[in-house]
Amino acid sequence: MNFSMVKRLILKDWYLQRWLILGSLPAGAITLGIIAIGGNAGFFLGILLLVTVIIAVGGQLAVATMVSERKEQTLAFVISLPISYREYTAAKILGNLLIFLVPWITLVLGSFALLMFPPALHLGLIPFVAIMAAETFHLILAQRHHDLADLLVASKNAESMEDDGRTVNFKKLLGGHTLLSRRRHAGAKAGSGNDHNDLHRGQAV
Amino acid sequence: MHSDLVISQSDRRPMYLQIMEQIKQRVAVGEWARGEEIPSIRQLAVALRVSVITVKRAYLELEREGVIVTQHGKGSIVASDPDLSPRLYDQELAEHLEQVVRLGILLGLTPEELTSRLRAAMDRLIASRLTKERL
Amino acid sequence: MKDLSVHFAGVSKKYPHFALENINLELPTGSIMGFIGANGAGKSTTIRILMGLVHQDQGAVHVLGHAMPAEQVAAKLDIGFVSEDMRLYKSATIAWHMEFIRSIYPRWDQSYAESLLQRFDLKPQQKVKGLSHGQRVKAALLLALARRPRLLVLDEPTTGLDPVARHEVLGELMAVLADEERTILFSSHNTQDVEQISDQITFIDRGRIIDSDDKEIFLDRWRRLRLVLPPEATLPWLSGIVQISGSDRLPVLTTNSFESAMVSACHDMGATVQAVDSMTLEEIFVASVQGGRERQTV
Repeated sequence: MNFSMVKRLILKDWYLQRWLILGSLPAGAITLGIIAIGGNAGFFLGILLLVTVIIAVGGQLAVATMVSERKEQTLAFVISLPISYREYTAAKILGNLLIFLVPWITLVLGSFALLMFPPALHLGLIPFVAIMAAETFHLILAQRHHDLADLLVASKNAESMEDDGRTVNFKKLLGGHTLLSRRRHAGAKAGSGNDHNDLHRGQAV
Repeated sequence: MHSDLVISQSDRRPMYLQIMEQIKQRVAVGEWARGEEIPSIRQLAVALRVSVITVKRAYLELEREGVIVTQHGKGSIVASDPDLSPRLYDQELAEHLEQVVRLGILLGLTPEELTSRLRAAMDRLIASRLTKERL
Repeated sequence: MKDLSVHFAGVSKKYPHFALENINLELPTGSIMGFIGANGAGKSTTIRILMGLVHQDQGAVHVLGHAMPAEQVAAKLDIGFVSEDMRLYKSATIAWHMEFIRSIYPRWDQSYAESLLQRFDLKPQQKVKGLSHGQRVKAALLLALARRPRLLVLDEPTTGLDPVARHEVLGELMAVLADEERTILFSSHNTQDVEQISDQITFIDRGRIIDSDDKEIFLDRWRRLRLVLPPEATLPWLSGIVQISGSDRLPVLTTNSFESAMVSACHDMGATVQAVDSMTLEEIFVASVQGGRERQTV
């Protein structure tokens, strides 16, 4: 695995999504501000916004880097670089995970920082944020596996691109145990070949 | 130097013949002097945007005709005594004359009728050329 | 033993509605091969197998000495690839793409890249989304050329370009060949371009290679003979007849193995040869395909 190429690919994706990534920081800061200042109403509104920001940035943004690459037909450009499909997929997974982690960590830290402020209402934040963060993290990972499985199904029957016939080993890539149920789901999806997703095109010439 | 050669895309003759003809003209006029180095096959191919294999063929034919000399590994030069006899055109003329004769026989023309037809065609051609020049 | 930049031996690939069968290809280093085929004939699939992006079902593929797709990473370090359906990143500038490629390929030639910018009339600070089709193609070509690849693989490089841009691109492609260690494979609908600059030409139709040879040999082998037959005479038999058209008394024979002896042979068989026409590459291709398809249905 050529890590310098993987790094370059990740940086490339981050560069292309730079405005959204940077935009999430002030959005998160404002949200924390609302929680800090707004009292009861502000608390609930803030929590909602918090989750929205995390999902919006982590979830949709990360998906967009993959779907748009196929839609905008830049896949040919990338895959003609000296990389294999393995490195391409690794860069997507790692890059998207890190994109998600940046606002996530910021928000979690920011939320804990708020705990320094009275009144005691904010203590309720701890379990709330912890559960929310864990759940959204869980959700994002599931979404990640789902989309990668879609990518694999699509690449098996790609109209323009194909992988080398071997699916990517998630376990090896993430270097350890992933949530096994998610992996099974992804595996089942990849093997089924039955797909109503618009990522799956069909005929090759 | 080599950018002087101009290949016409509408000319239906094979490209290697066009190249040969133009090189022979340059030699005949003295622009490419005897004993002087000429562009390598690749250089000429790049300059003319023509395949290497075509230029190679032209050079091989020119060498066979004695117009140029290729020194192994060192490129090509104009021969010190280039033989510019248009051997190729001779062959073409012979082929065409054979066809003319065959058609004449098919039409039932006598040799005299055929000859006068040939002369008339020559006259027409010269006349039209003169007209073009005047314009 | 020829030094081959690209070698396909018995390559096959099956899809649900299309199959590439028994593809054999030999491209010597330092030459340029034109790849001609109708849409859907298999050009793009062959090129993708060449790039290691698609794994063949059968057969061996070697590119620059590397087995594909196993060694595709090593091979792609020395390959510049441009395909017609390839797109660059819309929100980034040409300069960003140049820097991106420069950071990956050690042989990137910055001064050459800048001279190409000038010659192709491209502004580095321009975003890709603002480029016209022709400019986009030229930008992609610049990125492929400036990395000084040993092999250039181009899928329809001049399609959609205006005549001036085409002329410039052909000039740049030929300039690549000034170095005899560099090779080009390009597929094109533009038979005139292929006829002009290719050393070798390969025809592909319906997933099979129907002919592959040196260009000069192609142009020498193919002729149209216009004959005049006396009444009641039968058509003379000649080798390599691919098509018979015209009328009964004035047949036109298309042959793919012409020899000048055929003219007198016709005469001996009672037919008069009115004319022997050479054929453009386009005419040769169409005749090849039609002849091949007829043979398949018979």
